[in-house]
Amino acid sequence: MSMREVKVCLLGEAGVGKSSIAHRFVMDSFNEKQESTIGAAFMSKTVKYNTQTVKFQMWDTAGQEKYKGLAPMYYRGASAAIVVYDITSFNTYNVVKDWVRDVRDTCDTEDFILIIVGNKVDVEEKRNVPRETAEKYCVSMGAHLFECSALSGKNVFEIFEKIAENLPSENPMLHHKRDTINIRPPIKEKKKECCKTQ
Amino acid sequence: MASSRSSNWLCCFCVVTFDLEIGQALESVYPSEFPLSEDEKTNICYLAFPDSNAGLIGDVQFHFRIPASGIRREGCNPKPIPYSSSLPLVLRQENNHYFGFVYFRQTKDASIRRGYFQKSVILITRLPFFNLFSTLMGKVAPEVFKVGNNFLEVIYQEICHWQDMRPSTWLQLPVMGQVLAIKLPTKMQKKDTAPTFQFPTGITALASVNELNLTYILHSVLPQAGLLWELVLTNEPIFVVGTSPKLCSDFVQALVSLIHPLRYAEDYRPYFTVHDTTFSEYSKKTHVPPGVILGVTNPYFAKVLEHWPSQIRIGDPKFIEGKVNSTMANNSNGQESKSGIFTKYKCFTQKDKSFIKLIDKPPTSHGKRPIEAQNLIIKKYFEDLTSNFLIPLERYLVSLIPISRDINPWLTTPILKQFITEDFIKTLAANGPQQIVGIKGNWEGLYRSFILSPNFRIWFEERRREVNLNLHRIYLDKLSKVDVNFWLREKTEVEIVDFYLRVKSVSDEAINLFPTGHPVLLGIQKHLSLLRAKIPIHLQNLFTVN
Repeated sequence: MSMREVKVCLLGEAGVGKSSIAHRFVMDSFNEKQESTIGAAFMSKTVKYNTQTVKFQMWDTAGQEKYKGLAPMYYRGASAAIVVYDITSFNTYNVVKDWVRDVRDTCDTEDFILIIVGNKVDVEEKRNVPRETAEKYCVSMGAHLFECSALSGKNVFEIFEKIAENLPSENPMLHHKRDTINIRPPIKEKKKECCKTQ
Repeated sequence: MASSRSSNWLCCFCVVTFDLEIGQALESVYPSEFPLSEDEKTNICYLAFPDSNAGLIGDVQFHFRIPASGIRREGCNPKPIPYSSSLPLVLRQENNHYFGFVYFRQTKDASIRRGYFQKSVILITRLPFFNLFSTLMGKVAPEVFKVGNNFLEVIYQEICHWQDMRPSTWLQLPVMGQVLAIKLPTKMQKKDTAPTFQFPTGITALASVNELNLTYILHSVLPQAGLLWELVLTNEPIFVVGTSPKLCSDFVQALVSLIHPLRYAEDYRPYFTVHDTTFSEYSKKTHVPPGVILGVTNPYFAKVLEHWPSQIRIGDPKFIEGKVNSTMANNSNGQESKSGIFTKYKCFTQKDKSFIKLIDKPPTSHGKRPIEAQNLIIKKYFEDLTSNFLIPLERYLVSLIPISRDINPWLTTPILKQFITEDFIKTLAANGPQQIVGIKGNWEGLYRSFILSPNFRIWFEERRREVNLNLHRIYLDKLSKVDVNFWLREKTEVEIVDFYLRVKSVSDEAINLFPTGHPVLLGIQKHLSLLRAKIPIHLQNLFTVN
């Protein structure tokens, strides 16, 4: 059985719970006081999914404005992006669209897996983003939607299962066109301004 | 948001800029609390820019090495690194030096009064991992120029999360959205193995953390391989004049690597400028030059250091095209001097023609040998030469070790016998390296010269330490198994007290040599309580207080 290494990037507004989701997935624990991420944190976890072993290499990026310009560095060459918002804050949901646009610009292969995650369902009573709204958007973008709680652990593992399930087949007999993609994808160096002002 | 984290991999980042009023200036240090002394800061500032760099445009990467001269304040003293003792000597952290990996950029910029943008980003570390850190700086510095100095905080945090330096396993070092994969050799392993498998997305594997492109770096002096090797082996003072700091730092580092597995014992400065705090000392014509190796670009040095016995001039390695990644290396500043080794040193050994043949001759009739293979051949040649040179010394050293069965637990710990040069020289007739390496010459003279050098001293000290430690282990093991009750039967009080004190003193050392609960420790503790019971009460109390 072969092991696949999969680069995944977590994106989203500051404080929506990106690091907490990563922590829940890797350590199955929750930190009441999660310190702000500087730049990006790296974590990896190996899981078995059906017949294959998948090693997730997760780049948990910082949500603060001052680090925004660095994000492309982290999602370049990724197989999947998880864009997170907080279901209690409509503002964080709106920002998702910007992230999705930026990521799609860089990662435009047909195999790219885009997952949109509404976190903090443990405080359902404070919900501000209706599930239907997010669902409609996800369908239009060809993205998968999850609503989860890093605090309770609800639906967190399912996110990564979804990624494993959607990975392009590694069997070159089935995918002649793709057999080089998994090893070294052609990285397009797009001339993009790193720091966007205003 | 500043974090109190620190890393074994690096000390800090510095940014040095050119200030119109004061010249080179330290613009930023991250983490800012890293305790660099004023001397260290001055040295870093001057070494961050090429010395006499008029008219160059572009980026250049090089490295320097400076003494960690600062007053040792808290947090500045290097902590022992996990696994460090299992790494080869040449890869271990240097407690008394810093390495600086510089990325310098000079471009025309009309918005600056001078019309030039000149800035360097420097990574300061105690680890001699040239490939790793220059690869890293090649990624980090351009990004810093683009987004600003705050980016260094991000990189620093990422490096703080890097794993420990465990040898023989693939370490994945995440940085800037990529993973650098490296494998460190152990001290037992003779050479590191190159990666044989492919890496998935985003992983850059480095074949080695400290490999140098020897073919490229040494091309102009390789025909004099033997001379080069002897100069380094015997700690001769050498200065290397090159046309760019990159050429100098690579060349000096390559020189030092010629005597692996020996570690170069004296100071070496891959890049050195007239501003250095030790410059005046080195340039005094009344003094015998110290056994150091300096890499310089300023042509002024050729005059100032003219009393030094050896200088090496290196030009542009033009023969490999497309490898020079900066316009700098092509700029010779109009001073066209021929390259080569200029020395008063008389070589002990004769030229090894088989080596010249080996590197000159392509393996097949068509095409050149790949440069990696050529590098390996050169590296292995020098490694074998040094190892073979050490064989007679190793053999003689073994003859100085007391035989295990002669170790008497009732006496003190045995130690390695004294090294006597004349005795060693006598062994050369039968066991000299002539037979092994096939190079003729005055080997005896070379050994005599080597034995007087600091390189020999640190090699011998290290070996002696290892041997004595091992002898001590054997001694303690024997001591723990003696029958103290039997011994006690006819002993006087003085003898008992004497023995008690000796066992007590070694028991403290034993704790550092054996894990808790080890039979040797238990045995010695048992002896102590037996002996203690036999000595008078008033003495017992006295010993407890002490």
